[in-house]
Amino acid sequence: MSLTMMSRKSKFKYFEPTAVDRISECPDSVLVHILSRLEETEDAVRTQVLSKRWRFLWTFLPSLLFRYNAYDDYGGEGEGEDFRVARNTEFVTFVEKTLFSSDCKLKKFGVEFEYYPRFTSNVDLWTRFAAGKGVEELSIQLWPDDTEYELPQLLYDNSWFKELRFSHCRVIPGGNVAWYSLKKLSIGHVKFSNDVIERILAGSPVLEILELHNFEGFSRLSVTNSCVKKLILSEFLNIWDDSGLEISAPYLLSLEMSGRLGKNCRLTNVSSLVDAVFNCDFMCYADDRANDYERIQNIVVVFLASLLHVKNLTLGTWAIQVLSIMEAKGLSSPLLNCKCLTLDMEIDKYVLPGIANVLKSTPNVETLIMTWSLYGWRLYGIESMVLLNYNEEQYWTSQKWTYKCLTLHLKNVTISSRLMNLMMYHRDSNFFSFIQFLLRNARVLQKMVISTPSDDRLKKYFEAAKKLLSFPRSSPDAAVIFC
Amino acid sequence: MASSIENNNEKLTLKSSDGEEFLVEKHVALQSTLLQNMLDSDCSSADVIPLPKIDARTLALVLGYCKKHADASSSKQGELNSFDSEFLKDMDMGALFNLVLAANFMEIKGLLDIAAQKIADTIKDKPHQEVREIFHVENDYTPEEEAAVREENRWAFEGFP
Repeated sequence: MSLTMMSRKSKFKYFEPTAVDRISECPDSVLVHILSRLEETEDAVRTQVLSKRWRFLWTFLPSLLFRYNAYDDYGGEGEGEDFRVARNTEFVTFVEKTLFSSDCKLKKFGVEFEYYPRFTSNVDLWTRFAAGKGVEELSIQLWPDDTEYELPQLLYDNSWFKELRFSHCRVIPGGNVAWYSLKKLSIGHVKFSNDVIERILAGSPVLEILELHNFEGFSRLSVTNSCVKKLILSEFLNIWDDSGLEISAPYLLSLEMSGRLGKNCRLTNVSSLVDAVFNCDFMCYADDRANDYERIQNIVVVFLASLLHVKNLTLGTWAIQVLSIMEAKGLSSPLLNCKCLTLDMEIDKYVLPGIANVLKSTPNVETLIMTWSLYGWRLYGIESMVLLNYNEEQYWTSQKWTYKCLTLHLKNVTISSRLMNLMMYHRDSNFFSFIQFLLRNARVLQKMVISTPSDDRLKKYFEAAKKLLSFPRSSPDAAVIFC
Repeated sequence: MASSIENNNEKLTLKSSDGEEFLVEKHVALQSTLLQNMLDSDCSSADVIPLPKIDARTLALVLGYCKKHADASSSKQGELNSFDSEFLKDMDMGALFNLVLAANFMEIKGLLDIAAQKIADTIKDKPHQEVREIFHVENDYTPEEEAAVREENRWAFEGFP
């Protein structure tokens, strides 16, 4: 140990000063720092009642965050509109008073509540005040009754903003956008034209992360700013628009897509992409699914073809289900170069052939991660699933194919605790037979790490662990680790 | 790795308020902006740097934190996070405030943040009477004044008797 403690005294006394001394010694700035770590501002405001010293400490908070949901209030009472309006009015009064008592430079202002048109002038005043205070992070997340809040024009010209988050706000800049310091932008529940998104991107030259969720109106997303590294998209609401969304982002490193992204989505230039999450699905005609299948299959193939070069690839349930149907038809996925493959799905009979398909098409995979997030839980049309009427018990043992990735490259397998939870719940034999197949065929496997489920399924888990450990392994170095 | 070997023979001595001396490698000391600024301004590393407000027990903890963070490579963020939460586990309020004060004085932002967060988590959702006890704050309001302060921000006190 290189940290040497040279004790000159034989014994040093621990802890002479009491906590009382220490706290009274604490400079106000340190106490404010502690208050600023509280998640919501009202927790900090409450400390004004501790003693006179604490009376105004909270007015020096650099970030003010307010959230209210009347539905959480008093059990069922939140259902009545009069009640909700009255409660939200009290909330608005509190926000206003607290905000205007602020006595320092504000860094962050965030508000989330149920918006009624009667609050327009209040929210206008807050955003104006916050912008005037030089706020760097602004978050306005509203739950509208019917009419949505329109962002005031002065917000579009602000060089202090580093992070913006808007939800259920109308974004209609009258002129150019000038967000010259903006690094992160998240907009949700919004409708805007190609022109608006273009002006936003043109006016945000240092933007690094762009997130859009529950969005509609535009059809082209051309991200040519070289700073934008990450794009997160979920729920594109243009569901009747055949052409769908066209994305071109030549400098983008990371792309995450989840939820339903309209009818179609094409990646025209994502040549720098390193990480991609394909955990979305596309609208297909419910009454004519069988005939619409060709279109869907084409979307998936084209989509994967634009992700050939990606190093870390995540595939969700929907994409794998389409790959399953392709496998049943004898069609293979485009050849993918990814080194790390994440399968985000429940391991059931509808995905097994798809997994086989993707393993054939990813000869270089070194790391396989299996997880399960709720996002990916979407079913493709049941009609085509008829093709998947096969004996799942023997699926892996009947495989004659030699998987190049298993023979040569796969070194690490990780199974998340979320997936383990689910698999323990279903006692899914498909999952175990897949793991058995992996252990039997991965010749250079070094490590299989299985995370412990986070709840009370431990007994089942131990039974499963015993079973897993008994599976024969083809790699002499393979360690199965439970953590 | 190379830099830590290079700096191996460069050490400096810190002295706590209660007279303990601690010999610290330079790259560990650099976790503190205060010490970094002192070293940058040609403060000789042969000198003993006194830290008059930090006792030996706290200083040993602070240096343990700095050493872990100086030695870990940035790729091991997960490991550092679990070290951080383990580091503060079971620490009493007095010790936490000592750490916050030391981190504030020595300008060690990461440590200041995690210790302040731990204190904030402890008082979150607690009624103010309990917070007063935790912080050993003496109430110098008259009952009338206290009621007036509460009334002023009634919203924040909802559900807190």
